[in-house]
Amino acid sequence: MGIAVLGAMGGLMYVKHLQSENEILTLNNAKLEGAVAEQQKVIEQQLKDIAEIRDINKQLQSQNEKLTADLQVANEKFNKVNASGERRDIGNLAVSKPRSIEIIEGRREKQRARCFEIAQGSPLTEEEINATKKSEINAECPNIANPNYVPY
Amino acid sequence: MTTEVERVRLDLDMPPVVALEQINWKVINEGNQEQVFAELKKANIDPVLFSLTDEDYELLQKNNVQLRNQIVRYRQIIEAYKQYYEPKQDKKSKESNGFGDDFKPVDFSSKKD
Repeated sequence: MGIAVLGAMGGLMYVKHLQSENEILTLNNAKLEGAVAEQQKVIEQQLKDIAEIRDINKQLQSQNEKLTADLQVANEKFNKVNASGERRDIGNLAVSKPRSIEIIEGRREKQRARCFEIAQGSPLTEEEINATKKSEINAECPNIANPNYVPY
Repeated sequence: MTTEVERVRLDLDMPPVVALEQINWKVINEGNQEQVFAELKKANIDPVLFSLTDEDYELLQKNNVQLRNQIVRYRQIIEAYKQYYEPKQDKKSKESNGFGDDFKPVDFSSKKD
């Protein structure tokens, strides 16, 4: 009889032990699931951040190409070759037509000042936005001043 | 246990746009120098000119373009940082900016290929 009672108690304790183990395992499992979900969120955020960084870099690179184009405009402006194959020389022009060059420079200086304003973030005017002809654009910095101008 | 506390946003405004002073170029050569100086005297301006050769004038203009481009690059980087780290509070500066489509700050979080 005693042996049967002891056996039953032992069995009961074993079942209790198994239940307790099971609860611990369930809790651990829940914690792991939570951790996995947390990690998943972190990974998703990191992927989102990487995509954003890639977009930012792409955007900066594209804008940088336009700025380089404006520098190219400045380089070419002084060394333009005309239809007869002669290189434009502002020095020669200034010798033959000093007053004309002064007038042109006066106009260009205004455009240069405006380019600096735009570079600092000054909003573009309607005229600047809508300019599509050579006579309408800011010849000093068309790539930042006249977004709709396509060189021709 | 430690709790992460978000730092207060810096949210600095961009500096106001500086309008440059208009300068006037005098083009002087062998043929017109006397006339130019006479005009200066007549206008009660000191008869002296700070001059450049045509080659140096070209370099000056190229330097100006380089400086201007560098300002644009710095602005774009600042705006990209603001957009990335302070996306919600960047609307104000975004609206005030007037760059063309290519130059206005892009909402990078919404712009996807």
